[in-house]
Amino acid sequence: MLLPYLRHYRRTLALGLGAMLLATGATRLIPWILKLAIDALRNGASMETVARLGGAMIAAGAVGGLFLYLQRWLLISTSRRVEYDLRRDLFSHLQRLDLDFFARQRTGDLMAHFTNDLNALRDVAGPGIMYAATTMVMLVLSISLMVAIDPLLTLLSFAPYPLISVVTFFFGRAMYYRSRRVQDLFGLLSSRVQEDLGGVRVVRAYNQETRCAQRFAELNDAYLAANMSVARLRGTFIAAMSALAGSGMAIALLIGGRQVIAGELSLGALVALSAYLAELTWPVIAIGWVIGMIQRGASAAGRIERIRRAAPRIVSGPRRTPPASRLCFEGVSFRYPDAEVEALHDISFELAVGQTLGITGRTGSGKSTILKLILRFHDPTAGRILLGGHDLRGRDIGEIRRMIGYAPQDGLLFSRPLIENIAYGDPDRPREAIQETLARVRLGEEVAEFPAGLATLVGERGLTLSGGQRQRVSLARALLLEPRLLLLDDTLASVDAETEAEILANLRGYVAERTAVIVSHRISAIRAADWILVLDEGRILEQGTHESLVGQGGLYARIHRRQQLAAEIEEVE
Amino acid sequence: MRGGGQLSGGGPGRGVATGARSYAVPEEHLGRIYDHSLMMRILRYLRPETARVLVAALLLILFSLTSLAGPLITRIGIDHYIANGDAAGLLRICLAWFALLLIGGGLQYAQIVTMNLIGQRTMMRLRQEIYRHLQRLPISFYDRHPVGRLMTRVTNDVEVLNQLFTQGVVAIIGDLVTLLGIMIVLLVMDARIAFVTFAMLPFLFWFSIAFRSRVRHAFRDVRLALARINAYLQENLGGIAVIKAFRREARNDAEFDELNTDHRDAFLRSVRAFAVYFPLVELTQSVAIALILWYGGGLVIQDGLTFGALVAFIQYVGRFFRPIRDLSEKYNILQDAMASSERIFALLDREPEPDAPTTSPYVEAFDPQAAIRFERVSFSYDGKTPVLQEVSCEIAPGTTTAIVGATGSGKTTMISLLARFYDPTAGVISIGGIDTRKVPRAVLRRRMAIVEQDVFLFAGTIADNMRLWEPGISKERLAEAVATSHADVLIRRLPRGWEHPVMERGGSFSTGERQLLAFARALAFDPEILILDEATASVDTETEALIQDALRNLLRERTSIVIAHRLSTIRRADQILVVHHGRILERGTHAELLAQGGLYARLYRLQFRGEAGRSEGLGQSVD
Ligand SMILES: Nc1ncnc2c1ncn2[C@@H]1O[C@H](COP(=O)(O)OP(=O)(O)OP(=O)(O)O)[C@@H](O)[C@H]1O
Ligand SMILES: Nc1ncnc2c1ncn2[C@@H]1O[C@H](COP(=O)(O)OP(=O)(O)OP(=O)(O)O)[C@@H](O)[C@H]1O
Ligand SMILES: [Mg+2]
Ligand SMILES: [Mg+2]
Repeated sequence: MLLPYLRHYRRTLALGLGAMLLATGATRLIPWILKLAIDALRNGASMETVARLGGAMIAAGAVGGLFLYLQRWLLISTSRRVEYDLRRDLFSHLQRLDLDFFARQRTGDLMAHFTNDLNALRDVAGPGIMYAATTMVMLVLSISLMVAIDPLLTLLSFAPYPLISVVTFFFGRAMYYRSRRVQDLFGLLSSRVQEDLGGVRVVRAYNQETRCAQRFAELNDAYLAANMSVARLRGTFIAAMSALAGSGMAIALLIGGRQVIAGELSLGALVALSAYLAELTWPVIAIGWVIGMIQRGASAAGRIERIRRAAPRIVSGPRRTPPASRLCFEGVSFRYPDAEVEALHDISFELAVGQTLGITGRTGSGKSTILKLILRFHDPTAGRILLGGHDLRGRDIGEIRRMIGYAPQDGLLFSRPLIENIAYGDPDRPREAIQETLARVRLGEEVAEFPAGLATLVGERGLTLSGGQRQRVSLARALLLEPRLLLLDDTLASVDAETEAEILANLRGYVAERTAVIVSHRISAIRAADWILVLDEGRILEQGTHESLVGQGGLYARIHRRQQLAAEIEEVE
Repeated sequence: MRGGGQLSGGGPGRGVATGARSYAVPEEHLGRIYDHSLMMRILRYLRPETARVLVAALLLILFSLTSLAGPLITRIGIDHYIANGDAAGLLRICLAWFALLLIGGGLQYAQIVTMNLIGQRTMMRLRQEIYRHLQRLPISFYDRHPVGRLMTRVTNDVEVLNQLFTQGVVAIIGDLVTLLGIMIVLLVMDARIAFVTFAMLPFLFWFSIAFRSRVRHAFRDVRLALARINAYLQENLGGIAVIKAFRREARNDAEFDELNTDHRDAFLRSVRAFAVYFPLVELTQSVAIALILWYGGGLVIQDGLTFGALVAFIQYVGRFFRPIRDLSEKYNILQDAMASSERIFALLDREPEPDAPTTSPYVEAFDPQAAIRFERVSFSYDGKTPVLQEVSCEIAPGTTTAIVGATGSGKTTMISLLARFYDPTAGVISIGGIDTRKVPRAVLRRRMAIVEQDVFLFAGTIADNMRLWEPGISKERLAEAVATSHADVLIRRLPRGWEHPVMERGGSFSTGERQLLAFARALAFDPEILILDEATASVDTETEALIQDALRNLLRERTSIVIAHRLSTIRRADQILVVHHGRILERGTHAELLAQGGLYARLYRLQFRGEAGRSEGLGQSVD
């Protein structure tokens, strides 16, 4: 997964690795120059020679430092760039996944992918590669020098190393799974914080602060335990590695010593060999460290890969949509992925250009679902939705959504200035259009009273506005687009009767110019629609115009009666 | 400027500029860099771990000793046994070495585990402290601070400290001790050459100081960018449906890219600074050795410094620089940790909401079954715009009071004040004559339940959401609550019933269903004061009427406050308050208010005339 990203920077990486070789080389020069200098001193060289060698040493240090700088800068900065690329692509990909995907995710966990998991990958791309390369170089260097001295003894002193690779293999696997658990728990922890803080008013209202803290503590305990299981594994491994590397040296001493005693090896060779083996100790331990890092990265990559592999099932079709298109549901049924029962069953209706469809019905009867199907948030499980005579699935999604203005039921806003929320769908709209829309939803005067006016910063989800204000901003957001198809989902539910009546009056001309689907529990909002659907448990219970429905004496008539009951009582009194 | 929500394109006719950076709320200002006090404060979190820290240090020392034994054994092996041809002795000493390696391995394992334990435990305590602190901050704090950003404090910022605690502290102490030891050895060996070596220290010091502020600023920016990334993600992942409907994907990519770029660039600044710093340390080392060589060489030639002494000296200088190199390796960790702990402490230093002590004499005297009074209550969210102005009213125990009024008139604010999510800027709210500010919030809220306008459900099961982890609520009570709120129909339809999983924010339920569940939750808590804020606004009329009937029984002995726009639901209230622009304009029963012919009467007529057919709703005009 990391490879394509690294490949993009292969030149920088190659340069960085080259710099690393040179840096290692230059710093290796220093002991050698030192040896020369000491030899020279011993032979009674002049101060001048010594000074020259000292100068050479400083030069070597400077050159080494320069390459060290290049090495660090090239290699580590690449890892940061790779992290950036990964994060950008992940976000971009995520935004294009289906709503069904998001329904099953926890926001906090998704967020953890962008921070914690990407960090693990970045560690592999940067320090991981750097240390792995350094280690390899040192291993190769030392081993070739050792072989030059005595191949057999080298082989013997590497006797523990096959053991190391076995240990490494098991360690790697265990590390992978344990890291995965830590990462999953981190995601859970982050989800828990996200929810508890998001629902802070509920937590406080119901006095659950202590219990939430307790639940959080339990999760924290689990997280600690998982982290400790990783730490124990790493501890075992690192300890085992350094013991094994030490054993190599002991073996060399034992066997090499016997060879020396037997006169098969010179003492000098043994000493040199021991010295190289000693130098190997650190790289060998570093292997353990790098492998731990790589495994952590691999399990993080696994988590991220799960998202990257998720492909949107709702894909755009090639077909363009003509400007004036009739909307038609043909026996549409729909079931949410994890649900047992159908949310919609065999829904059919037709909506001609410029007409208005009203939908009402019981709570949970599938009204909002119809709108979501028109938006292609989901595709029907059976039946077809036709737009201009062609299946929605064959049409260009962007184009469909561009012709729609949607005011969702929960009226979610973003924490940005009010004006950006209103112009969310089209930030290039002129101010006048915004003012006009504000007036249309009866928000103009209220906004003018806000100290910062249109620049007022809205709280997260719109929570610093009153319920009705939020709904009206959400309505304005849809109206501003002047869409050809307007979808309103119970958008005036939190608005008082007077404001509602005025908005409805303001909207009459606006709605008449376009096709609209209006969902409402209030008859007043849909009574004038050309056609009205009454839903119950995902089925069309009744349909017709307001008059015909009232005449049928069914659910619609009952709702209607109930909503006007009081008025009649009034007249009687 | 970073922070502040700026808005460009102000003039008429200009578009609305959007920018991800702009939507961020001003960040707490971090002053200049105070390393010392900050470090002391971080270290204070280690205090409960003192014993472990000592053990870890001891283990570290012991382990270092065993690893030092290697060269020694090699020397003995060569000098004593190999030189003398003593193969048995060689075997013995090698076996001893193996044993020592085993012991060393054990020590190292113990040391690693202990250090990690110290780090993990400290972080756990810190996370918990931040979390608890967040639970004690006022609600107004949450109006201004995006959740994503607060999450960063509890999770990512704490995680950064991990490296400091597990790799840093003990090792840094170890390095410093080593450094000191070698300095003493050098001084004892030859003060003159020692001073040549020490001459390098001021340079090192100067590098560190020079890089500190650069690195720290870079890390501060990294932490800030990360918090913004999290806030952006949190919000936009939650609002994905709106994003798709409004086709914001491409624009959001661009916005996110801004944040992501800030994050990368800040990091690159730290990488660059560090990439310069570290080689400088290396260079200093070679300069030091060269100097000693030159100066010491001179001494050898002129003053008869022994040759061996010079070689030994140079070897020690190598050792002298090793801890310095280690320290400079850890410098990054340290600066990063400082930058994130700054933000953590800035959060922890916020004053929690003051609350009455649980020992207050009013706790005993407090009776939720008493009259609730608002006395000339005024309130403003921002300290400037008045939202409530001199609101006075009395709610008799056991009665139902309805609050009606135009949207944005301050109805929700009234009940937020009653529940003490906020405190009034002027005036007093009392229950049974006791100022609610004198009673601990927990006591006040214990007998109160609110169905908020904005329903919140937690991920979990339906049962979890009903009783919110409160163990005292029995199945029967739940069943009753669910029956009254007509959520039982819904639950019965679900295959797993009570154990049916609820997605984040109740995502798999319709809006009306969510309201029913929140309603049931309030009833499950069997409150003496029930507050309903538009609790059935998204519920269909029939269900609403059924709930009304069921509630009537239940409300008989309780005080209830009902906010509703659908006036049919409040006709029977004992008292109706009509709120207008933050003031109570009219009050009385339904009949009285109608007779008055004021705002209420107008609203009422409007609503029912509309539904009786004399005005038209949306759609094409029918005629
Ligand atoms: N994401 C989802 N996953 C599973 N089931 C869902 C999901 N969203 C909605 N449902 C179910 O589908 C049914 C129809 O939901 P929908 O939101 O369309 O109802 P509605 O008619 O709009 O109701 P309301 O009047 O309450 O807004 C409900 O029973 C609901 O529980
Ligand atoms: N958390 C907040 N921070 C700042 N201002 C707020 C906050 N909550 C509400 N307001 C403002 O206070 C005023 C009153 O809001 P409130 O929510 O009390 O109205 P409401 O009467 O409940 O209206 P609705 O019927 O629309 O729910 C509004 O102008 C609103 O914008
Ligand atoms: Mg709905
Ligand atoms: Mg309100």
